[in-house]
Amino acid sequence: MSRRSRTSPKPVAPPGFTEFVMGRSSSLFRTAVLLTRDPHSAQDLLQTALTRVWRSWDRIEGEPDAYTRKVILNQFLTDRSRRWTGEHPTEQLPEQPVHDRLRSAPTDPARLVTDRETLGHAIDALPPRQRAVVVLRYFHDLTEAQIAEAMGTSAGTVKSQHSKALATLRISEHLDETAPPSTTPTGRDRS
Amino acid sequence: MNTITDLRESLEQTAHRYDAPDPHELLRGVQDDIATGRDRGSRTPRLVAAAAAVALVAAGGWALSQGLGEEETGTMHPANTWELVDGNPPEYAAGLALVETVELGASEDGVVILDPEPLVGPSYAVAWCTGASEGAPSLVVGVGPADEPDSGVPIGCLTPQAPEVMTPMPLPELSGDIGINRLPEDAAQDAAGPGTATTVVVGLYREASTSEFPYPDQTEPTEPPTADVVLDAGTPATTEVHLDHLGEAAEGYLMPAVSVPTREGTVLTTWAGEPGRLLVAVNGMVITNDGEGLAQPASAGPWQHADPDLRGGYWLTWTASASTREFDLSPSGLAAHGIQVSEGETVTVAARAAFPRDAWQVGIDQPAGGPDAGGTSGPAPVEPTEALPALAYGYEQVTAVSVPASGSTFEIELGDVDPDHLIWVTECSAEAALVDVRIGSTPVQCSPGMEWLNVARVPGLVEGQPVDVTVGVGPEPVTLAAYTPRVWEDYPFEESADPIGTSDSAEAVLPRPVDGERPSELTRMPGPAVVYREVATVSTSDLDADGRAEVTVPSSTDLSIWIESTGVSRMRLALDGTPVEQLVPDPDESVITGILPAHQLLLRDGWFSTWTAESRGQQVRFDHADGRTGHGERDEPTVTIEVETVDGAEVELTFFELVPEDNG
Repeated sequence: MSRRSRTSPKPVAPPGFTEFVMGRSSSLFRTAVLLTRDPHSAQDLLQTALTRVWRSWDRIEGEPDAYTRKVILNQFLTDRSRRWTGEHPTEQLPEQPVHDRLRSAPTDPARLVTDRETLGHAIDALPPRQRAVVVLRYFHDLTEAQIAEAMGTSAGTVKSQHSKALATLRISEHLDETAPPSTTPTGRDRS
Repeated sequence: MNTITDLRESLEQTAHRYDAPDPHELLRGVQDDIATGRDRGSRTPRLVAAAAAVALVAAGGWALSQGLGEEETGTMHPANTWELVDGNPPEYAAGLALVETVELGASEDGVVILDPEPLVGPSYAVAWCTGASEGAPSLVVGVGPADEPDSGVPIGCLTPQAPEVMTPMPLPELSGDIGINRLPEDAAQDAAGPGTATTVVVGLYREASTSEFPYPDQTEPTEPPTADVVLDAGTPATTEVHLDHLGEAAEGYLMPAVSVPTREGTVLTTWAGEPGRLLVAVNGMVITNDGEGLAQPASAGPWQHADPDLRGGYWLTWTASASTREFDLSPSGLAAHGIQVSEGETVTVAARAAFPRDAWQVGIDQPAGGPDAGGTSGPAPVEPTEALPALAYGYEQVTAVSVPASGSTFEIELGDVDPDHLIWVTECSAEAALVDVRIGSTPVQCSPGMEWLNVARVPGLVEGQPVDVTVGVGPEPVTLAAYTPRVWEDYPFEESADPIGTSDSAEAVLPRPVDGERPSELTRMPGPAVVYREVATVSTSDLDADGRAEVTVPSSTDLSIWIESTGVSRMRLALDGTPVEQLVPDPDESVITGILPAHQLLLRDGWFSTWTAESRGQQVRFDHADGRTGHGERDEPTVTIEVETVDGAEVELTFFELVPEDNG
């Protein structure tokens, strides 16, 4: 008989990693959900990212939160399994029934038409990089420079992606009734 | 337009829609990944520890018969069939990942795997037999707890001649040592026949994660098979489907769906031309399910029914070539999923899919000789109604039909008209509001009272050919009407209706602006108020002998014009020399493809008209107000007006700007 296998005892997490997962995985999962728009893919993405963080744990400088988010982002933008798991418009469900949105729709016909295209659905349909920019800018409140650093690209590229995303979502910053929250150097903590 | 606040709220809602995974479970998953080297894309980690395996197996009284090398790296390719690769089970195939391989020598009746790697989630076994003579009886091995050799799950052997005939067999949750034995009766057969020399290789598999599985390179999908009724990415979506056993989170899902009758012999076939996943629900119950409890927290189903292709309510496909799977859609077949229907009863089949190129389909076939596959009658002609009159806004009705809300596609005849010039209007009841409708391949929506605000143009129709129309699954049929344009000169204005102006819906048309009051669409917005301020008026008496007038509007803020007419008239308008038809939204770039804004409908060939002899007002707005500053896009524009009237018709144009309330 040949048994072509081995046993694999549970590896021991590096000091502080378990506490990090216990305390921050919920917040990181929300980032993953916003990127993948799907809870199953988000969990896969988060688990894969945390595995990489585990391997790099001793070398992380600064906040592991930000580092992990960067890993999530990188994994999301490069993972080949994303070819079918996270970026398809039909995969995601609208945030609420269309008729619910319309019940509170304004009377301007032009705006009515705009609102009919539910925002959530439109976010789902954004290309991955544009969606990532939107998530980092408006969920984590990072500046364009911080987003560029997180995505490993230039601020100009981020600005371009940002503009395209807002145009696609038909969002006017001028229409906003409240001033956007001020950003902090590290963005907001989304727990 | 949406706002940043809308965007933030949308992100917030999405982020908190799903429960975060249990961190303990997550940590275990990470530990497993670390232990198995899964994140590094290794084939399997067991090859790394060859020495340990040797020692372990030796301790169990067994000997290695095959050398083990170092960890292999490089790009993985999943196997297309369950074939041994150089004598080894495939590392990845059909969504499964190899965990353990055991070889049962020709003279061995059974083996024990000591202290195996934990199998997390459903596990499966595949057995291959080699060395048997052609015609030898099939072998069966049992896989189960080592201390209960008689309770092993029987696994039929794959042979080199037919590697595709068997599917992986699910295993019970195995903890502790695992026994793999030739089942006694088969061992006896083997001993008595020419298959004595048969060697058995057993692969134990777990379900690979989607992030781990080495998907094949994609190729161009093949054409899907034909079916009596087809549900695919082009099928109108509906919110009528409620996925009952997914809990409240499933309310209001927008899913493509069709209604079909179910009879003995009705078959549903899922097809995919690429890797992806597809959920199919019948009357709200997911049938692409092997028994899992799908409500949160999810729970595993009976291990005996575990199917590697059915996970979390989805049918998963793993190959670049076509995959199909049949489901019994008869009443008895549906009963197995807890769906109780009687013979001939109509059910709603809905789908949720994730495929990169939408290469998926749900086909439904009825038994031969049965009634119409769609189970519903086709479109029925409808007489003109108040909402869909014979004549309106310079258009004459060509046809109006009531289309069943079944998700099925029907053909309607248009006769001898140029379809490129047609506009389409939909009418439905409040119960059927916003059911998706497709004319050709163009989606339109239906909303009671706002029929003429959803007017659509449909590109791609061919003159003389019938038009495909589809109405999403809903409670009631939807009426579709096609209209062809009439020329101004011989238009029967007296017979022409004004369904927008007479609509009961308060949302159908913007009201006349009132000096000092906020625009109705901004009344709910917090922050500094913006109000209308009347700045100029031009009426018939201001026109010169050629019906012209020019006014410079003393405003640098958002501009609206209230155009009111009594009797038949039309006018050209230009702002700073630019015709207004170039300023209002272009129908080719409208928010929803093909939808014409109401004021766009009233502009034709450069002329604005209400196309009626009745009194009528219409607001035309050129900018979007800034809720904080009121800044517009032009500074004291000069408006040029040219009016044509019939039989003494009167017109009046009132110009309004939008300014912060404090300045008003």
